[in-house]
Amino acid sequence: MINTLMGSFSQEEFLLSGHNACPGCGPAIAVRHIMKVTASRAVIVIPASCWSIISGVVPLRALETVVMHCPFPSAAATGGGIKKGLEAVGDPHTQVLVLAGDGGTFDIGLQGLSGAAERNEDIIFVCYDNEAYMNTGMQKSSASPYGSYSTTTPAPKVKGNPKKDIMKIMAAHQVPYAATATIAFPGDLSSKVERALERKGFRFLHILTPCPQGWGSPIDKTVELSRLAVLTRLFPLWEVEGGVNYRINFLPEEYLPVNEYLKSQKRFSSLEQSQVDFIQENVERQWEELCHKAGVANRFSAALAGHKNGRK
Amino acid sequence: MRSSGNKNQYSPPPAYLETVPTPVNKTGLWRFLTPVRKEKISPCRMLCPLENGIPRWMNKAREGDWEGSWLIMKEYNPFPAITGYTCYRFCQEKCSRSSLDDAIAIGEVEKAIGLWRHKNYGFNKAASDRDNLLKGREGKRKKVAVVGSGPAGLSCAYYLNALGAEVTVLEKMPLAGGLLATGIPEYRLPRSILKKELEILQSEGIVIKTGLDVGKDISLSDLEQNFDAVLLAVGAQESRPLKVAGDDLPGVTGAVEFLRDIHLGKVREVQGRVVVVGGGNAAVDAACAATLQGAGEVTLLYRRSLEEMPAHPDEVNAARDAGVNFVFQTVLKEITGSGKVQRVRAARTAPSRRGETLQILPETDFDLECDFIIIAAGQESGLPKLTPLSFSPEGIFNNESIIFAAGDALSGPATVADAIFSGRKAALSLAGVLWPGEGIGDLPGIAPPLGGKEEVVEFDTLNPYLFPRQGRFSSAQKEAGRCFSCGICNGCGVCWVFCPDLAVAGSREDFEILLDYCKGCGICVRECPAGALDMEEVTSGGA
Repeated sequence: MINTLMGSFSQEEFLLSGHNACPGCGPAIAVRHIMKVTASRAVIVIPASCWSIISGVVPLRALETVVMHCPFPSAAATGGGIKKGLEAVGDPHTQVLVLAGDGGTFDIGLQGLSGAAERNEDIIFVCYDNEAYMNTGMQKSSASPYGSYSTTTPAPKVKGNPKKDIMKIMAAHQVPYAATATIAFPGDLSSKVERALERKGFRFLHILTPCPQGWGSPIDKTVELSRLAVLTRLFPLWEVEGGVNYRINFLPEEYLPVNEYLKSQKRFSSLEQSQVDFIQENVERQWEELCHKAGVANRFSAALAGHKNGRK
Repeated sequence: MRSSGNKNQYSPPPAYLETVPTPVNKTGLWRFLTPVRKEKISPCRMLCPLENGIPRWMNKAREGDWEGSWLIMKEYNPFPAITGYTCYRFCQEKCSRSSLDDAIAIGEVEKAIGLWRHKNYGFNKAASDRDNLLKGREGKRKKVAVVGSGPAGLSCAYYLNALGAEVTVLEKMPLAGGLLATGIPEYRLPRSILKKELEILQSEGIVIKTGLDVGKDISLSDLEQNFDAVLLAVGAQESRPLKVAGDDLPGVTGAVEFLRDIHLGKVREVQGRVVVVGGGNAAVDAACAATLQGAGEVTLLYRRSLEEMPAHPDEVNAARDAGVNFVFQTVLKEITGSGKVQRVRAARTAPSRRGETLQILPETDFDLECDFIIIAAGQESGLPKLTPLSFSPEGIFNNESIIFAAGDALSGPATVADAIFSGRKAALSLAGVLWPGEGIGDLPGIAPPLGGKEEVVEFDTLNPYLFPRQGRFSSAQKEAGRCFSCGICNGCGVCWVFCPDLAVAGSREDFEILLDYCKGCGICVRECPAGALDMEEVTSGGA
């Protein structure tokens, strides 16, 4: 019996074949599943990012809905404006979904995002996070994790600061709904999009979407890396409502060591054991904190459970 | 401020309708490697003596479709109830699931399918299947005699009957079933199961004649004259003598004969101390049977160590539970007694592996008091007694001959599943001779044996992450749901779910890869929980 997190999905597709994503693209899988839920109920706003290419260079169209391209820093502002405009012309039902990369969310788009969140604009802001500026040539962003290689942080001077915790920033804005999701758990991802659609106000989805080209991982491992990120608790699946009600959506059966996730990615190839240990410590600390917030007992907090040989 | 009147004048710009949908962009041109659907052999099928296509019927059983699982099962094994009880479950030894939590209880699911068939025979069309297979073959009747009603003979009879032959099974014992009736202990195979199976075979048109000894009551040449083909499945039921002094004393018997006498009711009680000599299943079964018949003390002597015993560990454990004493690295040298067995002289041996020559240690002789000795030093085929012909390993005398052999008679003592498989192979070869040029080997009703070159699924190619860890279920249907379906696509749809290019299309069971759009990332291959997809270099076709 396949894990229930696989879920059941609509047969209808709103992403078309022949789009411009690279082979093994994580963001393409994420948007395919988001669109299965939103269908053509939503208008999409895309700032400069991978998706501004994937969705089609004029006159091509890969998404079966209205798409608005906008400048890099203004994704949230454009989304909010479109929503206000729709309301003004008497359409309160059409949803506005902003589809920004990590650059358009964590760095360049942060002021617009913060403003829109504070004003509680009635939009869904989806950040598909591939942890660097992949579209322009893999420059580091503030979403790049500690120890990762990029063209602006080449080895051995890899990124020395941890990844910006965007979810904490969003929780601090006390937005009605903020959640993390990833492509290896598409059932969880679609139910979070559904939950976001049910609510009003500013809704934020942080979706980890591995990028084989940028991460230096085999192109067939996109989904596996996304899964390992969850199983190693580097990227736990959780949600928060109103900045206060935390809920962990998936408690791994076993806690894998972070190295399981790091080892198949070239961007972490220069890491030394002490750095891996540092990442592991960070994971344990953040997980403890998250468990505390969600009121869940951290089952294996004392010792890291062993990696069972049977698993891949 | 906009007036309410303006709202009605507003209409959305039709700009996006003028764009071109991306399917004009044939991204399949980017591809280097192509995912190809490639069914493989599961580890359970590889270890099964019957080469049973286990994942295929598991996938039906998971949906509660017992009818469908029986229809698949009978291509490999017409007697799942019997093997469900008697088989040692070699299949479960390397089940991929055992690397995650616990091997699937394959034998229990098989038993459930067999019992479903027993219950529904005569009521359900699929369970009573003779008509289904006979379609269009009524005018092609051939007469076949099967000598021996053990699992090999019955399995061959079943398949030939289904193909439209008139089958007569001849059994020299008063009970039909061969070793199933007179060898396997009742606690391993309830006789009601065998009885039901024989009833079904008879109502499907197979004639079973008991108490008819070929060679005495009727000669082999008579059979050859009266039938189009003869199958010899007489088993290996002659106990090999031990050839030590005193083995002709009263109170010395062979294990097969001893078990047979118990099952035929000739021996009702065993008294005193019993010594069993041998390390095979027959020895252990005989030791257990002696205990059950009331023997005071049962001692089993085996010349090598416990690890080297040919008997299945399940049997050994059952015998230990029944109170049989095991004495290892000991050989029997002499049987003594006046008028009847009184004691045996035995000696210790040096540690050795099976196949190595045995070294008896000097000055280790000791005596054991006993009243009854059961010799289980191997069994011999019944073929040489019956015919001077020699058979190829496939059981064929020669290409023009109509005499075939199958089962233990051909291979020496083996398991029930081995015998059923041998019967199935004999049925296929016989069909080729009886109905030449009809392509019987390609009939979907009988699975041909594997070629031995098939690829076996490795655990690494599966995707256990998609399955939660769970223990075994007592319900057969739920238990079947735990199966990974190694090597066989069961339409789970994972490839479709994870494809970034929407290049998996069609229904779940019968999907196709859209080569115009597949960029060859291989996510579907890596994520497939059954390992039924492979990345291959495809030079022709595609975009």
